[in-house]
Amino acid sequence: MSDLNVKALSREIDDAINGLKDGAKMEQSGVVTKVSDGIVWIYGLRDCGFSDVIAIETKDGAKIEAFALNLYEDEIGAVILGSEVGVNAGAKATLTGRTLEVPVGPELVGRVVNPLGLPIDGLGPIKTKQMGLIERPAPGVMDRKSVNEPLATGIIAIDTMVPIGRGQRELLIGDRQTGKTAIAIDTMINQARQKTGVINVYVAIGQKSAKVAALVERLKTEGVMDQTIIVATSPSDAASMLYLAPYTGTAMAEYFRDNKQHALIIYDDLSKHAVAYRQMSLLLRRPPGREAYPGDVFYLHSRLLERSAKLSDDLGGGSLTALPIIETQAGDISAYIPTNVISITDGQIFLETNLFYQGIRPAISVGLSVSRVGGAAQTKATKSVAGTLRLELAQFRELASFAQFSSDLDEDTKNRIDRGRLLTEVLKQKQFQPLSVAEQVITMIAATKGALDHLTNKDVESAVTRVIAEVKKSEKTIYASLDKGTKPEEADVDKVVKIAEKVTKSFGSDKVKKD
Amino acid sequence: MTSRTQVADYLADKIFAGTNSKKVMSEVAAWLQAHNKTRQVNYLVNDVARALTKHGYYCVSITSARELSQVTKKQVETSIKDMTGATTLECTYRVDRKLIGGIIIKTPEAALDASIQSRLAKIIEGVK
Repeated sequence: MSDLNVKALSREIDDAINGLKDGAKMEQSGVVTKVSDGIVWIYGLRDCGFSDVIAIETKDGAKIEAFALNLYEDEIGAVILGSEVGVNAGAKATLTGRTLEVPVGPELVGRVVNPLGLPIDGLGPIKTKQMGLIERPAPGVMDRKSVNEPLATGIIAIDTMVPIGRGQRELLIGDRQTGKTAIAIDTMINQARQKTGVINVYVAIGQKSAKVAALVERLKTEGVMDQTIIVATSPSDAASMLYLAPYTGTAMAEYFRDNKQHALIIYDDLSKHAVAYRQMSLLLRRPPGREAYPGDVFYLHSRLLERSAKLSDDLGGGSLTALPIIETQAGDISAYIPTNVISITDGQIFLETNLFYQGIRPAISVGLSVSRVGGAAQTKATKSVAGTLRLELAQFRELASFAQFSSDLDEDTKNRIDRGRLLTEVLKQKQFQPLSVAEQVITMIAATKGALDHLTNKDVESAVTRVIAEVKKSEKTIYASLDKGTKPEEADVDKVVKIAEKVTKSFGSDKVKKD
Repeated sequence: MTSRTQVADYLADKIFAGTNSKKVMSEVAAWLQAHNKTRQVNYLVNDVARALTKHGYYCVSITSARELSQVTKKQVETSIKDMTGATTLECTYRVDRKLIGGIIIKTPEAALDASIQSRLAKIIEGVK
């Protein structure tokens, strides 16, 4: 009863009456003719535009919103935002005069919201000052700048072989349980560890609620939630919510891009998004195409991903980097949705089930992974050590499979295989342990200059850790310079190699295991 | 394929021009039958009413809480003409006590709800 305030109540009624002064005016109204599976068909509302929000009165007088997707001369097909419970044929439908928009702004950081921007983390309402359109045109050609700054993932295999730049769209693709989300999470964690100031937006599309809850907990533990927004939908949500989720996340991330900041958005995953859109399209009676997807399924993703960009200096130089995720079936990257998204993005990181179960994690397929931005998105330090790493590893994997049939190999092939085995070992990395630029460069110097050649597989990880610690302790200037991304001088490389040789001496002299 | 809206436009034009209605009606009936839309007659009638507004002919439904006097009816009809630009009105008056007071005007394209019932509902919604 302590909340009761009669004076406030009187003021609220006065405000409500004042709000009605110009309330009575002609408004377009229509009638719901059919309701089924989250879709309503409406007669009337001839001025309704594409994506306009329609308010539908339920039996108990409440209002449910829907957005128009099919505009015919005789009727409108609209998708209900949420549950259709309470909507019946004959219900009154009116135009709200709005298109779909969600709250945007820094107030959302640290929160978990649904695709309508409403909080679902139990931390109370979010008071934002701005709203952003869910569907917005992507920046034009003159508004953009080519990608030139690295977005460090902290994963050595990615930062050296398939570097990602700020404003790039890099696809994470692979079968279920191959570590796609793990890479995305590590990238988010790295932004916090390296204090890059990049705002993370994680969009869970039809992900299990338990998985999202675990993710939020992990991000809190790692101190990443303070620079993260999560847009969450679960498999029990309506298809319309799954369809809207990535657009909502993008609208929220664009706020930072347009305000001279850098943002990273993860769509986990776009396969489920395409499935939700297929469901809506089929229920809207749009003609099915390949794999029953509608004809505009390519545009569904291309217009979404085109909004990720590096803006020109005139527009503040902000960026939005996208890491869309696609789940393949039995490694088939030539299916409809994977090929679509591969062609839209600026490269892909393909994760292989075989590698994953061989213990090579992250299970990146060197041959099938590519970054079309390449060296432009690498620090000079990383570029100096990455060199021909990708080529060497790809050759090794070819030779390794060939070597299974022959024990009599020439010296050159044996060396290549040994080097490949060592590099594979060096590139293995545990989850939630992203490495800084300096740590990556020191590791690669030690590996490529032969300082780790005499180690056994099991010793590589601990040896590398000790080498990094020793360089950090005894060569602070070199370490700081590498961390800034400066290309190391010859003398500095020699010093790192000497330290590495000294540290790894104690690990014995066995050759790297052949199995 | 011809849409119901196109058929309604055709029908409205013919009615307004005073063409042989029997022939037109049989054409429309045949179209409804052929396209399995005989259950959409009500929608078609509404579409025709809407199409007739282009000719200044408005079919209007007026609902009030009490029976309106002739003077009030005249005033209401004048204000509807002012609001819509109609030249001819076909008015249907209804009484619904639930409105408490005020009036609801429905034209083929839009509605004006100036009833006390809806104002109270809005106040309650605003206070919530």
